[in-house]
Amino acid sequence: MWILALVFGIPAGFGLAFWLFASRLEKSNNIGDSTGEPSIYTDGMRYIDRTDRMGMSGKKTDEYLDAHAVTLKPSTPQPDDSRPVERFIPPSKR
Amino acid sequence: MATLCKNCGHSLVYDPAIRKMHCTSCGSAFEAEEVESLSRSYREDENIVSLDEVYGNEKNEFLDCYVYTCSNCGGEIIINGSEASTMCIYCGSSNVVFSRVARHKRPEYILPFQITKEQALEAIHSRIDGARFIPKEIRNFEPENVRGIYIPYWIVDADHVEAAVIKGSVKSGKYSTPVHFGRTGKLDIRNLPLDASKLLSDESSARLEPFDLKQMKPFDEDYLLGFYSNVSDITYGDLRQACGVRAHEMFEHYALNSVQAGGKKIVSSRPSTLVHEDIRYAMLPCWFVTFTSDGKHNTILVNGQTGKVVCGLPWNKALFWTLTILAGILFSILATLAFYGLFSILFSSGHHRSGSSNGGKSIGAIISLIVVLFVSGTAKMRKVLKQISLTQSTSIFNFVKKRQE
Repeated sequence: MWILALVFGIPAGFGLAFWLFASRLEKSNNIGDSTGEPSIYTDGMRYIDRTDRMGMSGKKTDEYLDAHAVTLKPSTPQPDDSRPVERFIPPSKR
Repeated sequence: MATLCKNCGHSLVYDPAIRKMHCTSCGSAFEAEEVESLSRSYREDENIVSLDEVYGNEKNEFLDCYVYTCSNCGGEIIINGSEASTMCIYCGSSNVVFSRVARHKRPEYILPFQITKEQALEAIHSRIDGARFIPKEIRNFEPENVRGIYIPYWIVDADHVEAAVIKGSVKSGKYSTPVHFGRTGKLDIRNLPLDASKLLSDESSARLEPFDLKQMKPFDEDYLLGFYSNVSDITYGDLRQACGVRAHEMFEHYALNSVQAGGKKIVSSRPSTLVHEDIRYAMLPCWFVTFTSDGKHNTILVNGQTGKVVCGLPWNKALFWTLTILAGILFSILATLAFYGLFSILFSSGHHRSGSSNGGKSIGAIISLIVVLFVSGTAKMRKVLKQISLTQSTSIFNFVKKRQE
């Protein structure tokens, strides 16, 4: 019984100590590690589909993505990827 | 001529403490909108000349460097390819490179500095002075440079649609089973600031957020006086990619929160992001504080509006591992005693019938707990190391350092 307790006690003890001091290290040395909350830039997500407990096969995954993926298309021609970004000037002011 | 004091003719600089243009000679203060740079219209047409053209350089040693003339003393100022304001090494005057912020290149908005250099240093020290694992020599660091730099940003609106498959584990009777979930959603993104400087990593600049963009003012060159600044040098491809990354992070946040499962993560997704064409060009403030420790350059960022400090600082490894091992020994003894007591009860003769079943469950739970502790601890360590690597990155150091004093 003692051996079994030791086998689990040592890793549990060191695991707890490692987690505890890693948490304290993160609090101490990792400063300002956050970006703006999504709620600042969006009013939340509008769900188009929510499917729970799908099948696990790769085929099911592909089928789901094929059925739901959408490619957004711009209504006006877009500047080329290699062009430097320029300030937008509305057509009325050009 | 630079922007001059109406009372004594001395150069003005923007003072975040009083949020006005300030004359360091007579102490007069003016609203930025009140003063007019006498040289602006004249200097908008002044060309900046490549260093190679001035001195000749077949080997391209002076890559991306340009010569500009100080508006106060006429001295030569060397600037890089995207700097919009800097200091003259001869007279110390603040200079705006007007041709880089003129006409269609002119930013629309600027968020003036609201935190002074002293407040920025105070914010850093108040955050690190009590930090146990930061070595004493770093807590008492002497800054090599403290530079206020206006970072160019594009403020974008975008639509984002993404279909994703999420994997997670769900309790099913005695066991957890892996399950897939499908989520497809649309995000209307508004006023997302994306850093427009190639030299500054998006990961570093995103950590400066949030900025209160409602406090932005129409752009006026006078706010640049006393500070460094850069203009945008990214392409539409860079902008779309940066927007796509941030939009995916937001989608991930909402999609994962909508799933009731453990260990959930997106295993496959198809995103599509469309940046609206009416992007806005703005300059946002940041203090960059550099110091060297153990031969490595460190750059601490402070949001020039909110005072948010961003850095990952080197840690006292000896202290960390000593405390972890000592605590590990203590916790191991306590855990062993606790498990001995637990196993004695579970496997005693009185509990023989249900003992093996409960014992198996308990051992499974203990193994899971140990795995969770190590995995979670390792994730925390990796976050710290990642942040340290950003603070010590050469590109951010060069972004700050390679400017005239």
